[in-house]
Amino acid sequence: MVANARRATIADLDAMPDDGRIYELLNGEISMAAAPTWRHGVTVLAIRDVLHAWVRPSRLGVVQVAPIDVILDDDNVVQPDVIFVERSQLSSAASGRYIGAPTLAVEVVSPTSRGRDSVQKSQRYARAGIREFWLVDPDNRTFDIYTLVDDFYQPVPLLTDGRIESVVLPGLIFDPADIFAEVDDQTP
Amino acid sequence: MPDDGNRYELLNGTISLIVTPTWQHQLVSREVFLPLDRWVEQIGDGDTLYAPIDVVLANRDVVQPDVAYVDEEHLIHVRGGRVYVAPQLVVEVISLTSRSRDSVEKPMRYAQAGTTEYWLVDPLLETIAVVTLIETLYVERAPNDDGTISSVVLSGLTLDPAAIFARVNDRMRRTTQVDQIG
Repeated sequence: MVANARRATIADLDAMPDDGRIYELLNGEISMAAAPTWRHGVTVLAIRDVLHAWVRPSRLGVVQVAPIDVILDDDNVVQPDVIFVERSQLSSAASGRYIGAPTLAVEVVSPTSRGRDSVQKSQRYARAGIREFWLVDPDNRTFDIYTLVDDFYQPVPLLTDGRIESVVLPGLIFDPADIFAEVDDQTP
Repeated sequence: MPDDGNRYELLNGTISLIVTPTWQHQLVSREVFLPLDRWVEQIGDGDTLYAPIDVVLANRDVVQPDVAYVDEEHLIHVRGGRVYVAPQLVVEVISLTSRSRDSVEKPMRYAQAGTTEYWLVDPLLETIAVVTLIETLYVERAPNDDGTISSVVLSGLTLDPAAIFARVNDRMRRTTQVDQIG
């Protein structure tokens, strides 16, 4: 189906220029994305803050933000915008990259990558066994949490008050509107 | 389910009600369907249909794609009014209520069932993302340099999303619009 001469590998990914763009390996193909926008970056950090504030006091695990390579398998090396790794899995990052499935991955979509992020990433994350996936669209103000059920992501319903609760971090309950308010406050 | 005029889908054993699509959604769906249908008529291989039509992907997954193409050799799997095979090409037009299903939940199931090509049409962004199945995972096909998109399953078929959305917008201008994409 694809006329590629050969599949790209992690070595090819390492050979890509350090030009501020984001390079990922998807099914043996190098995929490039533009550097994120201001609003995208502010959203990533707002989400990181929420997660960090929850997991840090109890040392539940570690929150990381992009760019960090996550090696799902030989053909798929991705850079989720935010990941949470529970403490027992921290050794998977011993090589400097994260090898395997983090506990939770967050994608903040930008208009140009909306299709790719939602279709391609969700499918790969599910197959790799990432138990929870947050898909956030700061332009359209949508915040969806998915949990892995029988190898497929199933949406986690909002609570009746409009807030949402993580499944892998039970007790972490927040209002997506608060995050978008934080983002608006820091966006020109 | 009752024959109450509502449309239902079954995803992973959970039944959900499909909200009636808006005028704009249907215009987009139509503008994508028409050239597809013309192309398929011309090559004389298979059939293209639009929602509502039940596609049974698995026991626990019965979906209603906005547009589905089934090639000639698989038409035999259409029986009792339902499609019992993964269509080779599926088009989903995102709406406010279907965004999460169209971009996350359904493509995973189309991929698993073996749908070779998936088009995710975004009326808000006026884009059509084309992904094709490599082994069991979808990979995005970049648009052509002139912004048009080409099908892999229907080799030779090229569509211009800009022209499609221009036609939709022309038609929408003749309606009374509220500030909402449905």
